[in-house]
Amino acid sequence: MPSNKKKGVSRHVPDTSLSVEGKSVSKTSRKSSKTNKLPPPPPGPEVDDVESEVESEEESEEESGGEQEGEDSGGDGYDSGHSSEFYDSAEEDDDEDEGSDDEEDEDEEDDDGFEDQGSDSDDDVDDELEMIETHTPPPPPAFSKSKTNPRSAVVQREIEKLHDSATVGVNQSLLHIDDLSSDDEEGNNTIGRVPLHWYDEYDHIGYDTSGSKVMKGAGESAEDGVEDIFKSLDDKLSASDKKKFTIYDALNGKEVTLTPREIEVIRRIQAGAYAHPEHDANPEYIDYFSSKKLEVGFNSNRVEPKSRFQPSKWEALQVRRLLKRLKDGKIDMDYLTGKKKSMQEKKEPDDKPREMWRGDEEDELLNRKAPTHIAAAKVKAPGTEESYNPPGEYIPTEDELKKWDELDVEDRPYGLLVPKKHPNLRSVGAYEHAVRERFERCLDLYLAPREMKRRLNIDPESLVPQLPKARDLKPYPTVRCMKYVTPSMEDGTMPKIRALSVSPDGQWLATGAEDGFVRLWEVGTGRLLRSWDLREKEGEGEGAVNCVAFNPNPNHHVLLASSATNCYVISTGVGNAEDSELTAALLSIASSGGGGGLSEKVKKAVKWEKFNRGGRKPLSKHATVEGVVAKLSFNGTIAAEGVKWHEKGDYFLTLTPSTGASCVLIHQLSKGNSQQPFGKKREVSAVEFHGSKPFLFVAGGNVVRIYHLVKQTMVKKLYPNCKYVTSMNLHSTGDHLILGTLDRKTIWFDLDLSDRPYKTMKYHEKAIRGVRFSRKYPLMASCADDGNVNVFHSTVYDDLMRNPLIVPVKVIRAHHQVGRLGATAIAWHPKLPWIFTAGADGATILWQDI
Amino acid sequence: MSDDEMDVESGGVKVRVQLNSLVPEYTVPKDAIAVPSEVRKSGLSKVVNYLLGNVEGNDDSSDSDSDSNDGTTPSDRSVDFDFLIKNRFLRTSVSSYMRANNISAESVLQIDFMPKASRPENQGESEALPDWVSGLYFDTGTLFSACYDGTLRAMGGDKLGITSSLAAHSAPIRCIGGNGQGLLATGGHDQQLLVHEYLANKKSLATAYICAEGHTSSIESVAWCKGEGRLASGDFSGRLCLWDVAAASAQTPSSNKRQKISSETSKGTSPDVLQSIFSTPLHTSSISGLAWSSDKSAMITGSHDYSVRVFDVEAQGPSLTLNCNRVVTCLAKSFFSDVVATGHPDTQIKLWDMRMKRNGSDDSVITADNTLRPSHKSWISCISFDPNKSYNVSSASHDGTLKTWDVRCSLPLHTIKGHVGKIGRDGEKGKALAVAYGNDDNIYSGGSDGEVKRFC
Repeated sequence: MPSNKKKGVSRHVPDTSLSVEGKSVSKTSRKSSKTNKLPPPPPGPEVDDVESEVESEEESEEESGGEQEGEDSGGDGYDSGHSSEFYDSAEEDDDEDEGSDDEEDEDEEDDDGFEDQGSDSDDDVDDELEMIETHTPPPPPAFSKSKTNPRSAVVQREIEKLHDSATVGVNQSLLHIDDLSSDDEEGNNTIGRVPLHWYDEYDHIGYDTSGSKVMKGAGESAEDGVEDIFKSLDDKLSASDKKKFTIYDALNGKEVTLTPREIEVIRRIQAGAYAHPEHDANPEYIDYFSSKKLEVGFNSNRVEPKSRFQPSKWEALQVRRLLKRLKDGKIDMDYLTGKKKSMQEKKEPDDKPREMWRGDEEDELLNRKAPTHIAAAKVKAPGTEESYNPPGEYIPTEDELKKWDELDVEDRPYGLLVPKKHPNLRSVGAYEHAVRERFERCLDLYLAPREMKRRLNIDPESLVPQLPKARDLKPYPTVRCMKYVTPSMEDGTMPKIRALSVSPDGQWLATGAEDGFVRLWEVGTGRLLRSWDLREKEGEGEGAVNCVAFNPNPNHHVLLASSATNCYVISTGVGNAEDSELTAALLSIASSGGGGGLSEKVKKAVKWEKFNRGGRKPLSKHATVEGVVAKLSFNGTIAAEGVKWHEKGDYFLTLTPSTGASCVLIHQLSKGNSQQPFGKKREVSAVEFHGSKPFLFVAGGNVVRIYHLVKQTMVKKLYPNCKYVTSMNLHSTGDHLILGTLDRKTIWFDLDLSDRPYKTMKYHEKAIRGVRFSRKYPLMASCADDGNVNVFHSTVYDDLMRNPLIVPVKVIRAHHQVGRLGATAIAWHPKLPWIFTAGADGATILWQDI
Repeated sequence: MSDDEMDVESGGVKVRVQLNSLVPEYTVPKDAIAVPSEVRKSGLSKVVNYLLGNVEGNDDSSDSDSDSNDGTTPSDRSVDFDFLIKNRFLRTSVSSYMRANNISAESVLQIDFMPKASRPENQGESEALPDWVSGLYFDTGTLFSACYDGTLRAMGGDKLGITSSLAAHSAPIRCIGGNGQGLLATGGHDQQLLVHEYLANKKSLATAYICAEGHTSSIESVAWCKGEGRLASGDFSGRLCLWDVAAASAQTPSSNKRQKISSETSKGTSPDVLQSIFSTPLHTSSISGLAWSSDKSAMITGSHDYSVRVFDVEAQGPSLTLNCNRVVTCLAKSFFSDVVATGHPDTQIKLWDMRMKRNGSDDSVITADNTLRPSHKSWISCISFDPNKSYNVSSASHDGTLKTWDVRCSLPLHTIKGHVGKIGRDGEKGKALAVAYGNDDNIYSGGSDGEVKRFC
């Protein structure tokens, strides 16, 4: 406390030397010098600072007079929270201020020195009061006085000046500098927190640190009477200015003169503005973030504030509320999802009848009753011929005009129009047929039915199946290898070859020709070894050989040939010792005139006869028989494909199409026996045995029937959809059947698949005469009357899921046409990919692969 | 000396060649000479003739005039030569050969030459035989011909007169073979293999042995082991049989097994029946060609089942199977080595070098050589190696022609239109079915026209 006094004295000295005006100036200059020492507080945390000041002040109050507080203003101030404490204490201070104001008026004149003390002593304890005073409005009587006071004009001017330069920075003198140094302001309270009026009766106020009384009006006025006199003089001089802003601090017993800043603060508070003059209420807006989006720079990498990642409490609250309402049944989902506007609204029950079978919208479109709209056909666009001055070639000549006249209008090139040349457009008259043409178009549109034509936009290449290349499917026959030269007939013409058969070992070839001879050839050299005349009388007469067939059993060297109404059994005589015995045994009964025991029905149909022709020395030394050994005579003519062996080489079929019920007969060579499988008359054009199963394939009319020979029932019917089956061949697996027909079709049946053709091919130009599968190679060929032999690769798979692969690989232009016949017969080499072809031109050719 | 003259003769690019004669009577200087690069064998032939002095002066137009005036002296003496480079015949120009073989034009090309093989001329033909001639065999001045009428005929002399005939078979004879010591074997469609003995002094043919059971089909090929009495035969079913005739002849013929083969054998003695040593189904289809290997321990067979097999006699099983992708219609082995030629229906003739198996370790190295290019027009029916010249081969085809080949050249040396004449009423061309070399450099051929022809 003494130090403070000294300080205050030492400071006070120079002040007194100055005039009042100068005093205030010096004060401001001192303050401004202080501003140099301390940076001005930032505008933002101003309020906080004030608060902190208030808090610190309260703390000091707590420290100084904590015990008396309760008695003074009630304990609630301390027990409550900070904010309430703040307000409470503020009120408390106000009370005190009011109290002190009363005293101020009394001590106005003698306590002048206090004002400097109060305002200047930054370190003083009292300064905190000063701060509070800045916040609290000054006592109304004092200020109202100033308004009426003539001296107040100066203040008024000053205030106006301040007002003009209300913004920060200009009026540095008004800036409050030492807001932060509130700690130093404690110490002048000598009485603690006791009401001041307790000291009213005493000369002192409180006690100093050494326990001695602090006298009222102590300090300057007490010590220095002279100065008091000066002061009073000064006061008189500047009373008008000074007294106005001088208040008496009763607590410290001194007068406090308000600094210009404090005045300004008061003025601002009164005006309703921010109290602190340094606060810039309307700072210049600096648009840091919103106008430009900073992609790069320091802020681009800024860490998102935590709040961004935390669930919103408010939203959680809303959800909780809604959940609760939902739980209570106050709202429902329809309301939440916006299906109904309010909970009062009720959903109307859908009483409309519902169409159960109604389809989708697309279906409805299709099911519309009205036909789809079809636009009218467009009128033909006018062409050059309708020009008023068409080129010469459009002008019809006289002959053309005559011709057109004879023609129907529709057949004329330009219809009714006759192109004419006009010198200019002007001279073109009205079109004479305009009405007629219009009328006819109207008729067309009205009467002619219109049909929407759907044009498929498909690349035709994409529809062609992907087939392997022919060169990858070798071997298949391509090149002529050997020619078997049939001797020409007496008249010099070549006999047509009608039938062809290869021995199972591939060594011999048998041909049947129109001249009635069956010839045996050596395959490897083309040598004619034997020829057997099958005509009725040897050496004369007619009797073309229709069909020859080698016994498929390699041990049986027997050949069947049919001529006209007879079928002949020929022993080829080429077997080895063992085979010759077998063959002889096989033929023993047949060569002796048949076994008899035929049923009456069959007896009518067929007659086994002993027959002996040829009888030359057999080729093989071991063979005993050579030549025709037996004859079967029928009532009707045997068809071209009419003799078929069973795979085992004992049974064979004969087909005589014109004999009604007995058209198909099954014969057993070893027993010389015959059977008639069918009782009814039927049309039959081709027959075939199944290789391994007791099935008989009979093609007739439009159907191929498959019979079970043991059960004697029909197993299956195939519908080839063709005119007349000329040839039929079964694949060696027994699962595939090909038919050649008169109407140029080659029809492939997959017997496991369906009773409809797997594939129908039409590539020959004329009727097909023969179709054959190769036994060993995946090859198939057909010959036709156009003289061509078409070779196909035909792989058949064991896998039921895979369809046969049929690839055309070669067209052999084998024979030329003679009459209506071309290539008449084909036969595959049993061991090689070679094919024999025979033609109406008398040639028999072997084709080999290269 | 010659260099300058050759330069003068023709301009253009020159290559240096060194000519070596393979024949001692035509020796030329070893100096490298420059010849035009476009020169072919005829040009080179002129050069050699010039070097040999067979031609006087250059072959210019002025000289040719003088030649014609002189008479025929120079042209008489000039010889046609054939030229070989690295043991291959020169068939193109020298420059294109060098291009094809990447030989630098700077280097000296070594060219061998020898007199060109003369074109075989028809030296006469036999009287028309009644049927197709299916096989020929030449043995010490006598030509044996097998016919489709089943008759075996011995022919001799310049006129090929029939010295003796034997109607041995009742069906066409398909094959004939001899051991060179008077024994002949024939097989045919009658499925009989007969061994005949020809007595050269008596000029008589007689059936000595009948090979009994063994074959199950018509006999398609027969081969004697040279110098031994062993006989191999193959039939159409692919069965191979081996017979030992020498052993049978050593035995005393047993009378109870004798059998009369046919009425036509009017000889007093009946032939012995020969039992086969073994009979095995070697192929699945016809054995069309058969030959003994050089060491006589194996047989090489060609078959219709697309294979060439080496059958080991000791092991009695096939030791090697070669696939040839085609039916083998005929097979012949060189007299000097284990080189085998096979003929095929697709006009190809393939050469197989069976020696590679002996030398190399891997069996699979043997593949068909495409040395001989297809030249025939049809099915190759017969191939024959020259017993005197190791390089020479001749082939017969169903197109009626014979071709002579040198295995050093991919093109045939000569084509002989032996049997192309029309036969029969139908005007069908004949087929050459058999070809055989004689010891006297003659080529004999037989065909479907029923004639045996001799070419030299």
